[in-house]
Amino acid sequence: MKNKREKDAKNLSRRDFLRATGGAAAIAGVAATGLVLSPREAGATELPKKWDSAVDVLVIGSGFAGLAAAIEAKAAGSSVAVLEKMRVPGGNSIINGGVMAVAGSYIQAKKGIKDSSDLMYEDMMKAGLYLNHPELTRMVADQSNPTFRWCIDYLGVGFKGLLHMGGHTVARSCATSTYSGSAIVNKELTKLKELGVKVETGAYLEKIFRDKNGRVLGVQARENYRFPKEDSGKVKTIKTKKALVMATGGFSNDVTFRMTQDPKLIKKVMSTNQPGATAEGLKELLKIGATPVQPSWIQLGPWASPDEKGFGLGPHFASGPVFSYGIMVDPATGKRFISELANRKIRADAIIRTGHAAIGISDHEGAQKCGGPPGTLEKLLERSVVKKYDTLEALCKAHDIPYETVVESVEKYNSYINTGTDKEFGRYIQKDAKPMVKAPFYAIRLWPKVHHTMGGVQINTKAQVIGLDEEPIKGLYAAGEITGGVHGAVRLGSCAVVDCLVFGRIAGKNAAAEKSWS
Amino acid sequence: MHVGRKAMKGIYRILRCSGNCGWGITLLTAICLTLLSTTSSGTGPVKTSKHKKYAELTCNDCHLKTKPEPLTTEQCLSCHGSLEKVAEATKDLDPDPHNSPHYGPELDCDLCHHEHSVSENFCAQCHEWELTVP
Repeated sequence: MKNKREKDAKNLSRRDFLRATGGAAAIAGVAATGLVLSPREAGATELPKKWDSAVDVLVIGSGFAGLAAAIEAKAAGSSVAVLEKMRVPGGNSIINGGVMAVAGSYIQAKKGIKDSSDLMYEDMMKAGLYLNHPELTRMVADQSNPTFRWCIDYLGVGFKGLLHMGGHTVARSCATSTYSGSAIVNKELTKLKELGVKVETGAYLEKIFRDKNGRVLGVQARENYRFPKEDSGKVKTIKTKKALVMATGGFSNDVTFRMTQDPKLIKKVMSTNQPGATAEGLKELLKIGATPVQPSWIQLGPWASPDEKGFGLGPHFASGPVFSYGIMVDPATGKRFISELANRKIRADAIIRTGHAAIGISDHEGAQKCGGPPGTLEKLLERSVVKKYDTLEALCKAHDIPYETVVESVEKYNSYINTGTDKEFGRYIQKDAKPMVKAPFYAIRLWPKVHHTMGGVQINTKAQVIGLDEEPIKGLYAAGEITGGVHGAVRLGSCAVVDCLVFGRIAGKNAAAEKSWS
Repeated sequence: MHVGRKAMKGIYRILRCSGNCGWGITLLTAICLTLLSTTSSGTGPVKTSKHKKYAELTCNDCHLKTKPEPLTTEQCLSCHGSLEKVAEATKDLDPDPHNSPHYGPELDCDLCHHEHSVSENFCAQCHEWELTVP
C-alpha cells in the first residue's frame, strides 16, 4: 500500500499539480501577457454563456444592512433583488437585541442627557483601541441620529427606553419596544414589500463574476439552497447591471474560519449568533481581491450565560441588574475583579482569565432594572438562568463563594454609591443606584460567547469595497459586519445596529447611482 | 436498496480508475455504506407518511401528479388555510411556535414539520424550550 502511494505521488505530473492547484490558469496568463497577473485580472473569471436574470442592484444578505441597501437602491429608482442563504430572512439582525446607539436622540433630550456625535466617535475610537478607520467611525457617529429618525419616520419603527451600555460615556442606546432587532428588520421587510422588492430566501451566493478590468458583472447563486449543504439547490446566474452589495454579516459561527483568526475560539466556545453566521461571503470577497481589515478581532459577549443557548435572555439581566445596579464577582475569591461597565473585550478577557464563570449578583432593587421584553426576569427564573435566594449567605453557599468577602464587596460597592465614585475600578455609578441591601438576592453565571467579528473587508465612506490595488472594486459595495474598520478592536454595544443601517443606506444609494454596464 | 443509474455509473468509473487494488474495494464499501445511510434517512423509498397514517391521504393528494418533490408552504396552505389561521390554533401556547417574536407567523411549515421523517423544533437552534412537533 505504502509503495503504491509513493509511486502515485511520484507519478503525479506537473500538469496534474498545476491543474489541482489552479496554477495552470496563472501560467497561461503569464504566457499570454508575459507578465504576472495583477490582482484585478486574477479576479476575472470566465463569464457564464448566458445570464438567467438581470437586475440593477443585487443585494446579498437580508440583515439590517442588506435590507437598508435594498430599500435605498429601490427608492432611488433601480431594480433590486435580495438573496438570503438561510431559509428565513433577517440573519442575525432579526434575533439581535434591538438596541441602537444614537448621539443626540430625542429620548436623550427628554431625559436631559447631553450628547454629541463627537463624544460618540471618541467612545467608539477609545474602545476600538484607535485601530478604527476614523473616517468610517465618524460617518456612523454623525449619521446616527438622522438614521434613527429614518427608522422612526420612514420605516415606522417604535423605540422606547434608553440604556447606558458598557464603554459609552452617557446613556445613548435606544431600545426598540420589543428589545429585538426584528422590530427594525420586519419594518424593513414591510417597506420592501411595499416597494415591490422580493427577498429570496434559500439563495446562496457561490461566485462573483468580474471582467478583466475588475468590474463586477454578476454572480452565480444557488436557489432552493439548504444551508449548509454546499451542492444543494439549482445553479443560476444573475447579471448585476449597476452593482452588487455584499451584506452577508460576520463569521462568529464559522468555527474553522474564526479559529484561523483566533485559535482560542474552539468549537466548545458557544456563540450568540444564528447558525448561518459563517464566512462564505467574506471569503468570496477575499478571493476576488478585496483587502482584509483586522479579521482576528473577534468579540465575545461578557453578559452571556452558559446556562442557556445563544444570546438568550440572560444578557438583559446581566446588563441592568448586575452591571449597572449590582456587582460581578469571581466565585473563587468573592471579590469584584473588573469594572462591570468596561468595554466588552476587557470584561470578557477578565472573566476568561479567572478560568471559570463569574457570578453576577443583584438585590431586589437592582432586579427591578431587568431589561428585555415584559416577563423577562420571570422567564429567567423559570429557566434557572437566574436564581433567587432569600439571603446573600444562601446565594454564596449555592455558588460556593466565600460569604465574608462577598459581604465586604457589597459593602464597598454600597459606599461607592454614597460617594459617587468606584474607588477600585472606576465604574460609572448610576445616579439612581440604591445600596444593595434588600432581599431577595439574585445570581447569574456569566461566561463569554462569541458575538461579533469586528474585522472584514475594507470599504471607504461610499461603502465601496477596496481592492488589493488600493482602488475601489468597480460595481461592488459592502456594508455591515462583513466590513472592517468601523469598530476597530472592540465594538461597543448597540453600535452594530447603527453601523449596519448607516452603511447599508450609503451602499444602496451609491449602488443605484452607478452607471449600468449593459 | 435503490441505486440510481448515475450512481452506478459513478461507482463503475471509480472502480475502473482505481484498478485492481484493495483501495478501490474499500472505496466501494464506503460508497455502499453511504448510499445505505442516505436511503434510510429519507431520499430513498418513503417508509412513513403522517398524512397517510392520520388523515388517510394518498401520495398524490399532496404531490399531485408531479415528481415527489418537497412541498412548498403554499401547497401546505392549500389545505390548511393561511399562516394566520394555523397560528390561531396554537395561540394559547407560550411560546407560540406559529407566532414567533422574530418572524411572526411567516415561517415555512417544513422548517419544523417533516412528513416522512422526524419533525424538529426550529426555535431550538437558539432556544431551549420543549416542544412536541407533529
